[in-house]
Amino acid sequence: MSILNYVSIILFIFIESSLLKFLLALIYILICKYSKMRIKIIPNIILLFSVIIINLLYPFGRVLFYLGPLRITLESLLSGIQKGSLLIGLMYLSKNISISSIKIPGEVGLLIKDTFYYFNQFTQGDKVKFKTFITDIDNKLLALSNTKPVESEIIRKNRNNTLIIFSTTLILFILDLNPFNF
Amino acid sequence: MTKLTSYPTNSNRIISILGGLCLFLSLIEYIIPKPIPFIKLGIANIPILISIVILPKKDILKLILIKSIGGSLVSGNLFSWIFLYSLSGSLISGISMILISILLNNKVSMIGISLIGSLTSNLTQILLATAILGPGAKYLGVPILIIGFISGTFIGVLTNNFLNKSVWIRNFNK
Repeated sequence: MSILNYVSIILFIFIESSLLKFLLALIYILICKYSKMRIKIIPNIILLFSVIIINLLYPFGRVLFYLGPLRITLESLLSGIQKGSLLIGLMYLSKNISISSIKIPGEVGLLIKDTFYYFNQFTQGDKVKFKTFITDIDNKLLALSNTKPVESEIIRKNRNNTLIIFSTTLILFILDLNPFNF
Repeated sequence: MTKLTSYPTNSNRIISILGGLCLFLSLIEYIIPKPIPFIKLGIANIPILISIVILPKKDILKLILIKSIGGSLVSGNLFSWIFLYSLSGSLISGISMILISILLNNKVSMIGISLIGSLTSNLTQILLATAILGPGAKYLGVPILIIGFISGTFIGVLTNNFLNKSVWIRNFNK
C-alpha cells in the first residue's frame, strides 16, 4: 500500500495543468484536515501568493493587464500557481508519507522514509529568513535533535489516506492527459 | 575547518536529518525564479559540505544519493535527463570532495572543498552534455564554470560560517 504514496508524488509532479495541480493541492489539504491533522491555512495562502508574486516579477507570455510599471502576464501567473501548488501539495503529501507505515526493504527505504519525515519537520515552525539564515537553520536542527520519526497510533489512524490520495491523484492525472479532448 | 573528535554513533539518523535539510533547501531554491534555466546557487549542497565534517566518508555517499533522489522529487525532475546530470555531478563532486578532505586533511578550508565540489560537478555535467547533445554543448563550459566558481565560493563561505557558529555542530563534540 505504501508504495502508492510514492506513485502519488510522481503523478502529482507530472500534472502539467496549473489549475488541476492547484485543485489537487487543495484536496491534499482537505484530506489532512479530514484526518484531524493540524492545518494552518493562512501560511499556505501566504506561501502561494508569495510564489505567484515572485513569478510575476519575471513576465513572459500574453499580457493580461498592467499594474503600474508591472506587466501581469498569463504564463507567469500560471507558472506561479503551478509552482506554489506543487510546493504546498508536496508538503501535504510528505506529511502523509511521514505518518504512513512504509515498508520499503533495506537501509535506503528507511533512510528515504525518515528523510521525508525530517523534511516535513523542516517545513513547519518558524520561517527561515535571509538575514538570519544560519541561526534559523541551526535552530531547526537543534529542535530536530530530540525528535524521532513518528510511528504507532497516528499511523494507524491515517493509514487509509494512502488509497484516497492515490485514487484522487490518479483521476486528476488522467484528466490532465485530456483523453477526451475537452 | 571544524574537526570532530569522534563521529556520531547514530549516523543514519544524521543522514536522514541532513537529507531532510537538503530537500528543504531545494524547496527554498525552487521558489527563487531563475533568469537562466538550470543555473542555480546550490544551497542544497550545504548539508553535503556539513556531512564532510560530521559523517564517516561512506555515509556521505549515502546522503548524496538521498539528496539527488529526494531533490529531484521536490523539483519534479526525477526520470528526466536533468536527474541524470544532477546525480552524476553530485556523485563525482562528492567523491572529489571526500578525496580532497582525506588527502589534504586540515590543510584545505571549507571554501576550497566547496570550490572543488562545484567545479568537478560542473565539469561532469559539461562532459555529459557534450556526450548527449553534441560538441556544441562545450561552448557552455566557460560561463558555467565561471558561475560555478562564484556559487561554489558563496556556498563555501556560508557553510564555513555555519560550522563556526552552529550550536548543533558544537553538540557533536560533547
